[in-house]
Amino acid sequence: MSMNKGLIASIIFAAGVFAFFVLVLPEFTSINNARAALKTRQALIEEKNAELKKVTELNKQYKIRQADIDKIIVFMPEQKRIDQIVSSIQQIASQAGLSLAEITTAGSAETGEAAGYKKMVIGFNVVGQYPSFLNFLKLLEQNLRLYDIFEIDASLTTSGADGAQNLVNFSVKLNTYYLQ
Amino acid sequence: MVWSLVFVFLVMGFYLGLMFYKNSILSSLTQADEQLAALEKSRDKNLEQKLLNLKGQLSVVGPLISSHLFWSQGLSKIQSLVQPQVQFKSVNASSTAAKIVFQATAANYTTVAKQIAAFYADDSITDIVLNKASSLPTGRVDFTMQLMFDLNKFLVKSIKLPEQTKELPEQTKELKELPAETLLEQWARELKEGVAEAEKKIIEPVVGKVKELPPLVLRFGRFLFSTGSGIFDKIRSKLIPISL
Repeated sequence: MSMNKGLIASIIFAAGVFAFFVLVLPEFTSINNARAALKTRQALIEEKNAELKKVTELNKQYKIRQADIDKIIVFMPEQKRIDQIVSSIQQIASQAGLSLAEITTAGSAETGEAAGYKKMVIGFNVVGQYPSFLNFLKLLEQNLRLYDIFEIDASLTTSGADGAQNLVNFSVKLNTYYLQ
Repeated sequence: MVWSLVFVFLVMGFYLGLMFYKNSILSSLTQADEQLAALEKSRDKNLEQKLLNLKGQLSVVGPLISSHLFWSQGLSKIQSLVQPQVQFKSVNASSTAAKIVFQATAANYTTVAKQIAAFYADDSITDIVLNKASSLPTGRVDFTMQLMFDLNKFLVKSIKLPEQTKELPEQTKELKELPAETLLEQWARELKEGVAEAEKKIIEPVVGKVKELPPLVLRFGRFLFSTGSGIFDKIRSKLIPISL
């Protein structure tokens, strides 16, 4: 009887050991994993909260400096904004007393991608007199959107009605930039 | 037997405790996921993109402005160097090649030479090539010329002071701050004062001594100084009013 009792006790103890290894230990591993995952998520939440706070703060600054930022956006637009280029060149030409004869646009093979912007080549012909062209260049250089002229061709064209004033055909190529 | 049962109950109790703990962690994990999803939802991606774009724009503004080219400045410089008897027929200017090629006519070859000399006088022009010069039936000279220029001096407006000017000694700084006109005026005044001083110290005593000489010696002296110049002229001018 006492031998049966000892055997039963041993079986119960073995069942307890078995339960420890089969049930308790895997639970431990699972809990550790869950705790690690929770820790990661909490860090992520903190990071996201900090980022959101930063964005809110930057947005406040953005709104305060809106006028300056608008100028920067015109200077370096996010897109090509060819409409803006055509209208500004036309406006400057007419302001300087030149007539815009032709305008072409093309993407440049050489881009400033490493610098964070793209170049666009604009070519156009204007007809008029040299002093007007000089004035045109000054206005173009003062324009808020940056135009960097890299080539100018000038040649005499038709004579004026009185024959005294020669008109000059100016062919200009320039680089303008936009954000990539 | 009792101890075995106690052990089994302890194992089971521990297991149940771990189950509850795991459930609470999983519940926290679900909450964290929900919170993350809510945060993700609350992000204004347009605003973030706008801010990122601004960051990109700000980083390129400085370098682009510092290398901005001013052709009005370059052409005005050429215009100021062109001789009056030179007429341009065509011009091709390129900043990528840092070169201006032009065809023009001049009154004669001397004017062409003068034109080249005028271009050489400007330090922003680094080299000149006269491609061709030929006489026209009208008597004028037709020529084609290439001007190579220093891009930074010719087209870029930003003026960079050399490093050492930042650490000029105090006195030099004062001198630098003084307008050029004032300096010239100062030098002119000092020169005038120097001449007056020299006149007072050298000429006047000589004139005084001469006045004391006998008439015959004075006549000889007049002859001696009649062809003189410089300081003798000064002495002579003082002597002329003296009655001999």
